[in-house]
Amino acid sequence: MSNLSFITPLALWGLAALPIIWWLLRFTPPRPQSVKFPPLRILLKLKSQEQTPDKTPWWLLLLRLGLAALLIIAIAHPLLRKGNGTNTASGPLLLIVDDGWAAAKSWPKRQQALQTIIEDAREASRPIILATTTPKANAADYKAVAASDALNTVRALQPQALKTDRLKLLNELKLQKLVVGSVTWLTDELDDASGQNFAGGLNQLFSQLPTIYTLDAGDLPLALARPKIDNADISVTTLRSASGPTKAVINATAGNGRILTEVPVDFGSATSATVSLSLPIELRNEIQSIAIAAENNAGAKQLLDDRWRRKTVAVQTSTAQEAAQPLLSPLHYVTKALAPFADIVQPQSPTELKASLEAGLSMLVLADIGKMPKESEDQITPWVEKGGVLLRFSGQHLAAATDQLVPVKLRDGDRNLGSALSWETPQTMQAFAEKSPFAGITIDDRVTISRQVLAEPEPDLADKTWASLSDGTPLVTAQKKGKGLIVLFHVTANADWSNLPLSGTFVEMLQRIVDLSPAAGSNVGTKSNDTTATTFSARLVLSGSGELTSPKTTISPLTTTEIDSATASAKIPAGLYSRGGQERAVNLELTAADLLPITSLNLQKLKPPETQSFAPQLFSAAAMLFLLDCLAALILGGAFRKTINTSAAALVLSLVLAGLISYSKPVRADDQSDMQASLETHLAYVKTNDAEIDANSELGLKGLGLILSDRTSAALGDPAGIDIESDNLVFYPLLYWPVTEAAQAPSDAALQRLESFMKNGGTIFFDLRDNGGDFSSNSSTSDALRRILAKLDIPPLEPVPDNHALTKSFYLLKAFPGRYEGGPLWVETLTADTTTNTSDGVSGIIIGSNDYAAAWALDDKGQPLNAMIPGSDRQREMAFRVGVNIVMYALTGNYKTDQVHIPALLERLGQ
Amino acid sequence: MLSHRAEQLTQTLPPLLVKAERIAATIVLGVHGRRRAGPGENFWQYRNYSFGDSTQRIDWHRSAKSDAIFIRDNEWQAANTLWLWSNSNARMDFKSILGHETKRDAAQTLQLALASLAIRGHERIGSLGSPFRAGVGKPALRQMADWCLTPKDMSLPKPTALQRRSAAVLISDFLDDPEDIKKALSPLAQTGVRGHLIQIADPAEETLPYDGRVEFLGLDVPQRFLASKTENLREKYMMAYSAQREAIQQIASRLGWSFTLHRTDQPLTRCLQALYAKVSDQ
Repeated sequence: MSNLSFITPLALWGLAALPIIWWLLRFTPPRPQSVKFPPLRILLKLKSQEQTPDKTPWWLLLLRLGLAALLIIAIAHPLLRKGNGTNTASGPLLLIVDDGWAAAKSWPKRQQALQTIIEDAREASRPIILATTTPKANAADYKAVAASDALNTVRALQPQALKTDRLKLLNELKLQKLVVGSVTWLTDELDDASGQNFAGGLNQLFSQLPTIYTLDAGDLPLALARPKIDNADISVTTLRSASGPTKAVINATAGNGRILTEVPVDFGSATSATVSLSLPIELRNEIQSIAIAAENNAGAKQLLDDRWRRKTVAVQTSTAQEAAQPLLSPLHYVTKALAPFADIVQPQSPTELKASLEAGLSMLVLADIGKMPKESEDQITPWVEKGGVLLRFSGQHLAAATDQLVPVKLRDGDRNLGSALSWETPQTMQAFAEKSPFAGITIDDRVTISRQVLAEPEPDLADKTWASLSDGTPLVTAQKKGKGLIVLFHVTANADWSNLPLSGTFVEMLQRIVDLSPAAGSNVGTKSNDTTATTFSARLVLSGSGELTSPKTTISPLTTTEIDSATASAKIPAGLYSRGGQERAVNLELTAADLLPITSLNLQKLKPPETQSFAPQLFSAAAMLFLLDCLAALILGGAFRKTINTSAAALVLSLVLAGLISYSKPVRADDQSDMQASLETHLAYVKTNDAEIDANSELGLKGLGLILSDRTSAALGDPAGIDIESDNLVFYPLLYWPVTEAAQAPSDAALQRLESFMKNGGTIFFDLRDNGGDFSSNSSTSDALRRILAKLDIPPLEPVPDNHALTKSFYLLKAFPGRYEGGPLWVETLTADTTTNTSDGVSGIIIGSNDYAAAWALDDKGQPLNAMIPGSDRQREMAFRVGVNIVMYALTGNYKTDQVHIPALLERLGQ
Repeated sequence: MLSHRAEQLTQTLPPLLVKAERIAATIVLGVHGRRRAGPGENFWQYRNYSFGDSTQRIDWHRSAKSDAIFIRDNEWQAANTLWLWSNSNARMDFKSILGHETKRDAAQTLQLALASLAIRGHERIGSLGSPFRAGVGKPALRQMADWCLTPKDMSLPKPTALQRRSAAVLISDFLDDPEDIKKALSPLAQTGVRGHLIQIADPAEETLPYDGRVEFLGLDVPQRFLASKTENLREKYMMAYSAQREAIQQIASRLGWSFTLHRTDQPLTRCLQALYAKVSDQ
């Protein structure tokens, strides 16, 4: 049986558009070649026959319609499907699916198989009754639905992290009184001690044997049994079916998904193999789950909770009796009680205690230590605040005096019950309150307390009480401190004051307290010791494929007793449950018996359906037609005439050009200004945001430029205004920087550029513009200059010495006047290494204060703009000479200081 | 603003001038004097002193060699005026795949080459229709080149009265209505100006080398012509085109002017040489 179907049949409606396409194509002639032609007048005179639009040739029309039709059909994606004969009967089909953990591994294949079966049923128009074999929280409704609905259901069906319960399903089916045509069962191939009975039951119920299918490539799942603590290691038993795979890898994963260890497992011919995971305790405590790699089923994953995390407990006492009389030792019972849950150390000295506290101790037990040495208290307090649990027992010493680390204020002395001097009888214990961490522990009624320390009555005493005597006096009190806890037993840790330490209750109580403590090494205290929550609620649940997902809200919270006895069920799904800081895991408990395969039934392998898709062929046919159409369009458009060569050449050329253009480097916006700046030598000034000063700087440098071109061979371009934050400095030999009082230090990037500018031979000329001011004195502008220079690497400075190049680089100068007179000029101190560095001994920085730009500024007619102070033409001339010298110094370096010029200079000096 | 535009125009000038110069340089300049004694710079003849001649004109160098007294005559070099005009219509911006350059380039190059030749012959040159007066020497040539490059739309020369005995060279594709051409040329010929018509033609204009559906667009007029089978049209078109050319030739012969044809796929020098012969003949 075979049939043709479409994946998107809606696309076929596109065929309805074909007539419109036909109509459009019919009246759209091919585009004419367009030519500019000067003797148009002559042509127009020739105008002879009527011009009607050319009709598209019929064969082109057919070609294009065919192309459109092919595309539409190809988009509809036709499939030819050959059925695989799963469908031989009529009437409703009861489709039973094993959706337990064992089916999870190859679930997508199972879904495909289900779809195949349902497709076959759809062809025969058979309704489907879908039933799954895992137990459900609510009773399911078995109704026959249309095959298409069943398909949707199957697509959404997910495996459960549960064992199948086929007999329960059989009972439910019996109640439903269904009428079915045939029964099909897609099984996970595991017997679950029910395969035979289930098939028999179905036979009885519907008076026909079910058709039992398995997947074509049957791979039986692997599973993990409950891990065990084996000394310091975790021993894991891996289970397999007799015909399952023989090799596997076990991963231990932390809560954050980090894989902590990988252990290979080789079954050989056995059906189970045990390996042990050996990890340092700190890493072992991080394990959240142990899983078989690539198995992807809930049975192959075991979640570990608090109880698997090893704790480290330090115990300390004031008396040293152990060796002689262990049973009287205050720590004997505590040590015995805690040994199964924790690693116990007994620090002998404060140093050892400190070391174990720092290593991340979980819990510290102090038996009858009244007042701790200050040094120990200082160590313990921060540890508790970070999350540690301090457990204290009373005794003579504690009764006498206590320190700060107790949960409640204690009365001096102890209370003696039932002694010779007392009329009270020894007290029994009251049942634990529900909110107490001890809730759920059964109290041994033989426990009596004869002595205890008493708490001062306080308003919050009741809240702090975890256990009390039958008369209501507190027996165990606790207080949160920081993230940690301080717990006090009001009795001794040995049997002196009560027989509590002798009872099983004591062990359980200690276990609960240990549970509250953080795991070893995790002293940062991520858990909140919230002891007020009374029930465990699901935090993460395990999906059928072994992934931890957030739980549904329908999962009801569990009490302590319920959770301890829970195994995964429909009501309590496998997963992690938490109460405050405590965590409990609920796992699928699997044994070797759960992995026995079905042997007694006749299983058929379900082959995947054969489908043949025509879409690729249709698409390629459409593509061929399209190419043909292109060719036809070219021919009709007259492309294969003489123009072919040039048009091809033009095409190639334009492609090459396009390539060149797309690969050529984009032109930067500032290239233009860079080009201008580098073609000519420019002086530059730094813009100060003060328009007047900037104008002055520009006019001053322009004036100086005029003087320079008059008197020297230096031909300078127009001065450039520089924004110190954004502009590139590399083009300018000299940077004139008028310092304003409001000047702020440039940004770090700008400072870096300034520094490299100076290092690479540029010179910055700071002008304080301050009458009689001096860089070394305190004035507002020199302060501003210090702000600017604060972060720069400035070499030592000195006033220009007598023989400095600046005094003779063009003119011979003795002083450096500007608009003002008298302010000295500061330059880098010349040392042996500065004279030989890259900048040719030119000082990277010159600091003057005489407002030089104002002295140099000339108007359009070459007349000076600013009056000199005190003022003489001689002073202005000297100011220009200073400018010329500075520019020549910046441009030519220190050659004037060479010895070769000394005789000539001496001669000119008349000496 | 104006100077800026002028600068832009002269930037494109040198190549055109140079090209015109290069073409002109291939033609050996013939004797262009008046072939008689008169005011001029070049030596023409020695003749005996006769009564009435100014003594200042006696060539004492020559006279000292013999007994007779000689007078040195120079050749009379009176410059004639050559009026030049080329079509600057948008129609001229056409170059088919068969042509080597646009018609405008050919026309302007030809015009400037002729002008350059005339300058070398110390003739005065002037642009017909320009506001400038005829001039001599390189400045006049430069002015003409400027005028050439000034964008304008003149498909026919303005009817202007020219000096007698001057020559006019009109370069165009002459695709306008023959009647219009006749009207425009007649006033020029009235003063006895010797005229020369040069028709610049793109080979595609003569042969209509297109096939299939072609839409023809006008360059100077916003009209179009859709031909469904151009090849069928070709014969008729060629006949109409040659009729147009014959009409132009007729106009030329009636005015006593010469007619020269230049195709843009042919070298300009050929046309220039033919033209040179015709212009210098007179």
